[in-house]
Amino acid sequence: MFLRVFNHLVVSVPFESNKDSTIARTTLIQDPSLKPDEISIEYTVENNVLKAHFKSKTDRMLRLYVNNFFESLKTVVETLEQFKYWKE
Amino acid sequence: MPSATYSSPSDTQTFQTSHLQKSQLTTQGKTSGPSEFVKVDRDQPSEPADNYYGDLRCKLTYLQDELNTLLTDKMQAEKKSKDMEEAEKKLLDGDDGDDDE
Repeated sequence: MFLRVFNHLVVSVPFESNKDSTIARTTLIQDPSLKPDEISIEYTVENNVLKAHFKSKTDRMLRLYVNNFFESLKTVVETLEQFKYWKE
Repeated sequence: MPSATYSSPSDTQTFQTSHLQKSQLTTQGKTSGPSEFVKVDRDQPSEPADNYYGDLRCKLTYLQDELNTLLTDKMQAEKKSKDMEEAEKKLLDGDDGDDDE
């Protein structure tokens, strides 16, 4: 019997509202894992908190996908940062 | 405040951002910058706005750096362990180039 061992990473990101965390989740789920047999990513929203749960066979894959996640997430956050309070 | 928890069969580590002072907040990541050969960084992160999300973006940058450092260290440790295993195998089995078994 082969017992598969995984490394896990959970990132919790609080937004200002449930609406904002849902916007982030809706954006991030458009880029699913391209190698689901090696790494899986699950995004959930609990009130205003976005959670990303990574489950990977290797730290190498984890680092790759975690970096992609942060870059995409920072783009979402920067959009909110610039336009949420925009007043003409 | 954003946080992250890494867990593997051998250990668990948690990273927080609540302790960060205003002076430590930056959008310029240490592990996500351009190559040393790039003269002009056109993709440089913008300065944070003075609002919740400007703050959050800085904290996410910090968290990204911490996780990159941890995962890179773990990758290097694993590689070192594999190299030592290979070296030990060669020592015990003899390095005659014949690895067919």
